Amino acid sequence: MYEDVFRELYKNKVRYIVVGGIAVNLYGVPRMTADLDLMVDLEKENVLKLVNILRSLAYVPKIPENPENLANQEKREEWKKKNMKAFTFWNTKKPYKQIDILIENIMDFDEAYNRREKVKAEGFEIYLASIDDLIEIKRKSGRKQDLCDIEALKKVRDLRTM
Amino acid sequence: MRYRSLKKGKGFAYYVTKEQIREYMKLSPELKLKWLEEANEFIWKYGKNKEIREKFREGEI
Repeated sequence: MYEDVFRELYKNKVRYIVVGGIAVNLYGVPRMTADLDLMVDLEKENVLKLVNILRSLAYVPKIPENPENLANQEKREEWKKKNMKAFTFWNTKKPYKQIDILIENIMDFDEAYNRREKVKAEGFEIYLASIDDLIEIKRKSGRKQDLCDIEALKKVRDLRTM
Repeated sequence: MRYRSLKKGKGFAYYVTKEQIREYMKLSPELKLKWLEEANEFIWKYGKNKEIREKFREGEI
């Protein structure tokens, strides 16, 4: 699931961190999820690199918008006014795959990126928000599954310090 | 692991033990992603059948 995406993001040095259920799963919680939630460096060049990679892997926007507008701050401001939180891409070959790009970063990206967890896979790395950042993000979201994620992540943290 | 659906739009709740986490942590990232891929593909193919969906969610499948 999303291995091709992670591989390309790594190869092309895209600055991102995984912040949703996939991150919780990769930390070691056997939790189901389908969406890949990404917080990215919203600097134009980085966003355009990401958009091109997603396009090459058969991901298209869920809304009728030019995906390159994601790199445009004015556009993002416009979307925020419409209560949009993320720009969603879905995969035309496997429609259950959906990638949400946060249009406003919920914490300072550079700081979160510096604290990121690097998960080593065969030939690439996956960047996750640190456990503490993930807990903080989930605390802000506050849905039932986020509270369950927090409890599970605390268990992961305990196990890692044992 | 137990999943429990909440009212529509309210998300879900789940519980995992430390032992389940300890075991799952041993898997490589590739295997974890594969587990997700297979589970999602299964739900996508058979999820319209409510009985199968609920059994899957309850960990019976």
